[in-house]
Amino acid sequence: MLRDYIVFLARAFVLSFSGSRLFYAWMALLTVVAAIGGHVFCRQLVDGLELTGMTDQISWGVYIANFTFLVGLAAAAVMLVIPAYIYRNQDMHDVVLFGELLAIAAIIMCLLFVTVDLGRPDRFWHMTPYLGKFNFPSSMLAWDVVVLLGYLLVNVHICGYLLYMKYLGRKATPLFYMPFIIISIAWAVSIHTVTAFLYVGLVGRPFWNTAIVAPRFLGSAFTAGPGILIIAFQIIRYYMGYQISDRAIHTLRNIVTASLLINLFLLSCETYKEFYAASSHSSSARYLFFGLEHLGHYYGKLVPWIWTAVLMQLAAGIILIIPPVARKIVFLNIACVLANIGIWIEKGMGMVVPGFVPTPQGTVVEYAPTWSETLICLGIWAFGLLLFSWMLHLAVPIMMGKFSFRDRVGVATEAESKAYAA
Amino acid sequence: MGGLIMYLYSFAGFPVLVSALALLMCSVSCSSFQNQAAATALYERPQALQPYDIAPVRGPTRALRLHRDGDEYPCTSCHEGFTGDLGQAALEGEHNNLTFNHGLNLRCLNCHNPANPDTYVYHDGSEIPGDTPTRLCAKCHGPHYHEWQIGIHGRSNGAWSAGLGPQTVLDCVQCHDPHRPSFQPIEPEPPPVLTRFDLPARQGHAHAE
Amino acid sequence: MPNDSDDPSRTGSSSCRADPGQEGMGRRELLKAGMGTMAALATLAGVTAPLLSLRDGPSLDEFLQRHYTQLTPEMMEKILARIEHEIAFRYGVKTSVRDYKPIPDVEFAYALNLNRCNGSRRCVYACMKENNIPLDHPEQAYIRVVELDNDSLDLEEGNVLYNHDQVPQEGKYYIPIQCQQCRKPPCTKVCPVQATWTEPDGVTVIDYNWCIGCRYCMAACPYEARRFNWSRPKFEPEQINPDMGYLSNRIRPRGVVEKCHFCLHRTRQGKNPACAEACPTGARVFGNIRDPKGKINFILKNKRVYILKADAKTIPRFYYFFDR
Repeated sequence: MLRDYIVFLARAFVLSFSGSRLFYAWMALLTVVAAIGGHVFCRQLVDGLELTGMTDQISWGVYIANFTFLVGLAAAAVMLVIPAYIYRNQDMHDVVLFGELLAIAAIIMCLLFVTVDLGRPDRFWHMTPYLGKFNFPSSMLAWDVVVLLGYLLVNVHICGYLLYMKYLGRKATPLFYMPFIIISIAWAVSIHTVTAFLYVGLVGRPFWNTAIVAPRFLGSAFTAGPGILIIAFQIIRYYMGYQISDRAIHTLRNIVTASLLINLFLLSCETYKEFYAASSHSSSARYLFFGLEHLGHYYGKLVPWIWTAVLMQLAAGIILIIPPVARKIVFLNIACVLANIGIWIEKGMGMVVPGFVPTPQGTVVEYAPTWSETLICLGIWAFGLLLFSWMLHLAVPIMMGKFSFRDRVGVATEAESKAYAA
Repeated sequence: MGGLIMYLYSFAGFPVLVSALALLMCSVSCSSFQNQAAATALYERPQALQPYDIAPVRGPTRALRLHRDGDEYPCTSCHEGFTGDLGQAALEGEHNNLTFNHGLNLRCLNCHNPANPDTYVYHDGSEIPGDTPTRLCAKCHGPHYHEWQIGIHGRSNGAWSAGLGPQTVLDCVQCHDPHRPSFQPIEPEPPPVLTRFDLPARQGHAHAE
Repeated sequence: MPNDSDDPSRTGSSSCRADPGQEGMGRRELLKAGMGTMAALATLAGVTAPLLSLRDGPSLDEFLQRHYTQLTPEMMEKILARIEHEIAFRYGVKTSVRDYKPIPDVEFAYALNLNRCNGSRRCVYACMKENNIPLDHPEQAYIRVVELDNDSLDLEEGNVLYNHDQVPQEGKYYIPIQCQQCRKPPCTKVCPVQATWTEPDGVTVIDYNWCIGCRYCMAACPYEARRFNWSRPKFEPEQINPDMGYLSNRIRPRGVVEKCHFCLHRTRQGKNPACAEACPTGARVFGNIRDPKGKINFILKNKRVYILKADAKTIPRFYYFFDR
């Protein structure tokens, strides 16, 4: 049995490097971008975080912003898992694995974004329980590491198990994956809630210290994740020949529509509170939406960004709530892209940076990522896409039955494989 | 089975990757660090060097003295003793460079001893030696004197508690000019820069030293 | 891409071709694999090339060093010797790095007289010199002095960049802000590795050899008291204060967080902190809050005492008070 698994790994390795020209070009492009990111990260290891645009006042920047967005993408897999496994929706059942693979890639990107943000990545081991000093359960960051690794573990297990069973041509035993599916549903909600609590739990940052952050995060996550999957499904269908029904895409569309409306509603609740009952705690929101005047200077780098984000989400919302328009795949795609960019801005930089402005001592400092930071971010995104493409490259042939134990064994030993299956 | 192996691998993979990177950093820096043990002569800072200025704003406690042409001389070299009422108008000659702004207390002999100009005078006419002006101030400024005794008015240097080591407590006149006792404005140190991007070197200017 | 729509079958067959069951790899495949490996190695070399110029990475001993609370006195001796050696090597200065322990029955507290403070910033620069903060990096100073209008307590209306010929200015008052040494510190709570904690004498410290540099504590601090070492500090030898404490003013490595520690290396030896030493107006009062007859308790009982951001319920050990 172990031998079969090793052979599977070897064959998967070979398959990883065989594909069309387009596949090679795509993977090579991603590798180059990821390698550039890796190179700049090595420079950052040598010169320190001085290379970034972060300061003592704005001590988190675009790394943590991307981290926050990606935790949402990872959590969004649950929006496929629930219909597929709880409501036994057959269309979703065919594609749920892609959502989980996206979650795996997103979590790994999250961990990379946390790593590049550390001042001392060489001391990562201090977080290991027993070996180091893991401040659990006091620190929300400790919680975050636990839930992210746990979620990664659960999803790798589910995907690995289901794909390997499919490869062997055997029926998966529900006992080996259903409990993990149930766990993953609760866990998906928890990873994004914990990430929200990371911000919410800070008494000195009124912009974050509001109960609505976790629901907002979930709302935006369940918009962004399925939105990306709608586009990914079309790519898989077109380039890899895997049949994904339009019904699956339209189920996702309904999820995106509902989540986007909820997200916009929560955003408007937050802005109402910030601006109608404007107190000194509203300064961050004022900075975000209108800019701040301090000591005769105007600070408003984020203003165009946040209005772009709001308008993009509104436009996506309008497209989505007009059914005849939203059913057209082109408009659906436009809506998904608009919603994703909008959310990436709103819950990334639009969430992280204003929390630091104005500073607790009342000064105003602005932040803009440097080239190094941008390249490292692009590198991590490229690496994540590389990972996702690679996983799809293996998973799709397995799911289509084109890469299986049987075709290795060949016709001569078909009896043997039947014995296996029995 | 397959899932087990795969997820064990993927769980361990990330920490292993990070640790490997860290070890690589170690080995690179170790080699440069240990090959050159510090053999060169080391700078040793002189013990007595006070790295920051703790001098009081008005210099050390002075006995009652006047200055002219660099010499200091006792009041008795001119005054045998004061007689009569010396009002505010008496600030002339040697004293005309005095700025006199001490609230309602504007009469010289409220403080200076008419019998012995080198000393001060107490309410009952008794003498306060010229080198202990603090007792003179205590005549009127009782609450401040009390707080000074406790250690919360004025600065004390050295130990934060008397039992822990030597303490230097500043006298009233080391901060306050008796003739115009309000604390005089001073020049502040340069303002901070908020971030490293605001540093002069980063702004393209030469460093002003 | 039209020729890709039937691609999966091709991948399937190509994987079959490379099967061990078939005849071994052809020369072309071998060449391709070799070239691929070369390309991968070249990429790896390109990616990691900058690491060759790394000069201040941790030594193996530092890498494996345990948490402060797990160190035996013997281990600490070795660590202190190593740190002295490192500073000698990197900065050419003979220093003495000690691990000063809390004095029993002492809990430090600070009181600052807002009527007296005239905003001269002497404390800021004394602190920088005492605590080995490079003088050409004034953004790193632990103390910032906020200038406010007499009629306002709102820090957002304040100005830390005031640059007058003389202070105090008419109608203004000044609040120096540094670490408030909270009794309920939000910063220690959030640290994922317990690299920062509150000592028995009430001072929140950081183990610079344990901090991973995530900067969560900086986000958590309601007083903006914490600073990060974005790069390695640079000094001339004569700028370095050679009397160093492990938890206080030793030269910090790059990539860790630092902040005011009430000059532990001084105060645990009974001496005043540098800021109190240098204050020209005597606005700063430092003492032991457990001494009922001490200075701090006199102020708490007899003055109008103001706590910065009392609504955050961090319960600082740093008090501001007014005479009048």
